[in-house]
Amino acid sequence: MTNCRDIEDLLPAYSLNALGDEDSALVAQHLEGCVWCQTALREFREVTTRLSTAAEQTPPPARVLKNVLKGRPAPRPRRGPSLVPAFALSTAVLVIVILGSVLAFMMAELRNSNETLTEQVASLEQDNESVGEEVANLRGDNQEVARQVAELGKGSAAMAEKVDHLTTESTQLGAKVTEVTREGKDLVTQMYQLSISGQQSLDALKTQRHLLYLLALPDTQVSDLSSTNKDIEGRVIFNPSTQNSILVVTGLTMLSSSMQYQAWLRKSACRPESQGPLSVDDKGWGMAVLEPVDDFGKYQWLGVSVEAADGSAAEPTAGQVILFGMLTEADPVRP
Amino acid sequence: MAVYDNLGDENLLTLIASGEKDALECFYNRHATAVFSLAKFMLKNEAVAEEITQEVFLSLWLKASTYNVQRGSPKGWLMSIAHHRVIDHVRSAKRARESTDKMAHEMFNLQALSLVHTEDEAHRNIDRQLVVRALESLPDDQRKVLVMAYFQGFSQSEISEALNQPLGTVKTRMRLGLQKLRAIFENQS
Repeated sequence: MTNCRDIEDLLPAYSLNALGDEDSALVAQHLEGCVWCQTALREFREVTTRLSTAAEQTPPPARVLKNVLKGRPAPRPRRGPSLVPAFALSTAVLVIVILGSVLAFMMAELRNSNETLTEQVASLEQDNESVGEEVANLRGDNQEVARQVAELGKGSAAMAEKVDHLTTESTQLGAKVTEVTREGKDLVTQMYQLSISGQQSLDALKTQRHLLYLLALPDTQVSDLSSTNKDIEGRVIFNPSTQNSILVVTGLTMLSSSMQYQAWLRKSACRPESQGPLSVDDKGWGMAVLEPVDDFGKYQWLGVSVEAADGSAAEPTAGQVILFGMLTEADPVRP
Repeated sequence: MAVYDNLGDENLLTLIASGEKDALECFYNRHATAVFSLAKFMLKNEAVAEEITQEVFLSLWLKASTYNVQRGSPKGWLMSIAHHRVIDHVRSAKRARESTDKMAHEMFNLQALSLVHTEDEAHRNIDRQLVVRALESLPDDQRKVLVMAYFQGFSQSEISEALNQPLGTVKTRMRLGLQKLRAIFENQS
């Protein structure tokens, strides 16, 4: 039982802490991944928070704050008293006596080993003299090899000069090719950006024309939306006769090219329907023509979320809803 | 502390999550009265209310990082934690004397929420008076389930049993009562 319809049924009792442990855990688990039920819960919580002020307001005694501030960090567990038995001292003396005897024996053994080592050092000094003679012979051979290497080196230097020359020419050619390629890529990018901005301008013009038609109709209504950000305001302009509607949002910030604003409509207990991206201008005004599957009047909620540039297909990403509101209360544009 | 006084509750929670003691003190100064008053009112026991207030604010060291703005204001979140603690206490005390409490709801009425009379108290409790009037304006059956649930700690199943009403009826009354209160609060503001 984890769909929104079942959870919405439990939300009033959840906000009052009046559910059993099992149902309460079920709601908490669902809320982790459902931004719509989180928003519905927020509305009930606003009421229960206000309800809590029905109690007479008296401040707690000052000692409560002192205890709270003393409460961190948590005190470390105390060490228990030493449990060393009384006979430990005599045992330690006995151990020291035994260790002394062992040390005396080891010193005698070390003295014998030292004499043997002195003999071995004298023998090694003799071997060292014969090694010195062999080293002198090898040094003579080494000088001959060095002379031959110097001759080979002269031929190698001439070859290296030619290779350097060829490398320089090749590098210059490579730089020219890179420059031409970059210019070509810049041209392609500019053409692509022009085509995108042209399409966006066309879409924005269509949306504005749509808005003008709607405002010209006598029975058009407007509905304000509540926002999670005080700088952002949203309104839905809707005509019940033609079933046409437009979402207008102000106070939006420009997003990077990898992100976009996406509009959503939702009927009670149904999954939200994407209404596509909002076109946003440099003054932070965003508009979207709403094209719901069903009659517009059957929808109860409207939201705007921040999504990746290719949009979210299933539902708004949790924590990214910046505007949210009910569509039940609307005022006529022309009172 | 003056620096913290200028910060919003959401910023204070971020600082509390990173271990700032002064931020906790500032958050406490803003909301401890609401927590203590609710606990004292529901439990009718000042010593236990003090204990619960202390526990709630101590738990913020660990819980502050889990606050989610999508689910409501920091104060709403705090009061929900506090209410939850009080309800736990009420229910464990109720289990200890189950037989005598079965009909306790019948003795509860809004007299317990009676309005204050001195001018000074009235000034401090303006918001409280508005809430009590809003509760008094609800239909009896809706007010009864809300008071039993929120102030007396009954679960919806216990309310259904105590009032001898189907669970679905209790749920509907809760929903309608909360929706009406929301509308009244909006009109008041």
